[in-house]
Amino acid sequence: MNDTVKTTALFGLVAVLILGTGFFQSWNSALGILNMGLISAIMAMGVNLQWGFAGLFNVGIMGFVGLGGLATVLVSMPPVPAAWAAGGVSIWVALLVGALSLAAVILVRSRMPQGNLRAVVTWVLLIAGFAIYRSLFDPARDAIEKVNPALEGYLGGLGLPVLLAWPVGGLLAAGAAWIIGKTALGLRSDYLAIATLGIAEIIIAIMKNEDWLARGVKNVNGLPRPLPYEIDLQADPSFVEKAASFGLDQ
Amino acid sequence: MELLNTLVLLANFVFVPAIAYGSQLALGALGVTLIYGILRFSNFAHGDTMAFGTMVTVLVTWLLQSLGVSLGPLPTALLALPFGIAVTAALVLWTDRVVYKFYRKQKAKPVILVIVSMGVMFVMNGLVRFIIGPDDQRFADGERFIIGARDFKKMTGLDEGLAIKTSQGLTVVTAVLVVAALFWFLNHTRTGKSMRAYSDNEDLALLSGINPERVVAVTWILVAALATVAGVLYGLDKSFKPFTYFQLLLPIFASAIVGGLGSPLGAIAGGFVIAFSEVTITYAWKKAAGYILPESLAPDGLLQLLAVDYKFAVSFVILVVVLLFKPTGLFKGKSV
Repeated sequence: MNDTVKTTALFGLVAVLILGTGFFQSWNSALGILNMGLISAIMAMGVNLQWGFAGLFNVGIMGFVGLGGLATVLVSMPPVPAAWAAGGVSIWVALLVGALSLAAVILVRSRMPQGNLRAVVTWVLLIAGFAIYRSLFDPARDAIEKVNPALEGYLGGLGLPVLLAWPVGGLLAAGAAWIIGKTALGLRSDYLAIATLGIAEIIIAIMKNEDWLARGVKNVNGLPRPLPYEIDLQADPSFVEKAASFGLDQ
Repeated sequence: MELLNTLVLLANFVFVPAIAYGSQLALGALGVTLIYGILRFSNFAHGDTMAFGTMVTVLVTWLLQSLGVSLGPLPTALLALPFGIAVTAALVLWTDRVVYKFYRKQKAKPVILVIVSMGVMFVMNGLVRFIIGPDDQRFADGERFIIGARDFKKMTGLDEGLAIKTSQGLTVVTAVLVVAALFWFLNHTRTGKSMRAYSDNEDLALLSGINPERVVAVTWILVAALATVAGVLYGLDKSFKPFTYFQLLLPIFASAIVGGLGSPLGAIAGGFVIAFSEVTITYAWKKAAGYILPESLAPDGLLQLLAVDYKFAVSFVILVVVLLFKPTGLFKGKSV
């Protein structure tokens, strides 16, 4: 049996199994399995490209997947004006201050000559930057999380079309990948595996705990879809008519 | 008085927990480092080996408890520990026979072995959840405290209490004994010396007539013992939950790498570095600062640098910093 026949037969077997689920159990679970299978296939293609072509073993796929999910919320959900009024600007100012102090530290370390003075300046910058960042960040975060905590309590997204979440999620994941690359590429392959696992766990920890960003472990309901919701389809007479003409009306 | 109170407060919430946690991490990291030194791969299944060993110990503890056997003030789990070690050693030796041996014969690249160990990890993970379930299990019994906070306050008349749990004292004592025994074994016995020779230079060791399969088997038995002891101590100190043990993998790897992979001394140092940074960074310093600083300077906030949920992130950040500035770790482990 050559490869083509074997591949076709295996795909055929999977198709038969999915159809079997549909006929003997329910079409909902059959579609669910198909859906999950396709999503896993896309993730597996990513691993395959990275490991197969580049030889880099990445254990942190779940972190990148999580960033894609985060991008969907940040891009497509409507903004929460009350939360923005409560502390939206100051939280971003706080993050900017944090980033600037890190940038200052990097600048100092590359420009100043090595010695005690550089160490002192580095530590002062780090500690002062962190203190200012926390003093700006904490009240803003608390204020945002107090806004209608049952449903919102987060800044919301940009209210843009959901399809934009794909490139944005890609950019976020690329940013994370750049950090991993900076630290762990060029080390042994085992270290890359541990580093990717670690960064993925950190990303997941941040997304779970920073409620102001995307509600942490609570659900964000009603993400917009590029296609209509089921309930809208059922309410749409022309769709129902078309479905009936296929003989699907039961 | 204020100073004494501060010291006791810090001892209670920082030093004692960090020393106990550090000993547990050190034992875990020793296992990882031994595998790395002798079998030359990073064993992702280590956390779940710990979970498996602890699970067996928990089951035997329950059996002993139902038979009415106890150690008085000490936890019954200590009696069950040898059974846990024996069963875990049998499991990892069997895993080595059916899984790792195949790849060792093929001289597979380390990264292949890493993936193989991830597969083993998932199997062990499933096995533990299948047998004991994914929930929290408490199996600590005996005396809860060596010194209770109230007794300490009464004894010294200070405002702050110092509580030392039996599990914490036990952790430190056991860790010291186990580490001493391990170092004696590695430095003074024939088998231990052959293990070190094999770790230093495989070809040379083979030429001088060391039986590699024997070295590998002894390593696995040692690793099973270390993993079970570390897991049981952690379980006695906190509680046993399979998922927590999987999460321990990250700080354990961080400890082993920070200390220098393949260096047993480094693994111990790394364990304490990671434990102390996790505890100090996630500790709320408000009360301690309140004692030391004058009243006008007393802080409003908790003075907690990071929320406790980020403690795994802390260990990883330390790992990255060490990888960037000192890639072989603090104790000159294997080069990367």
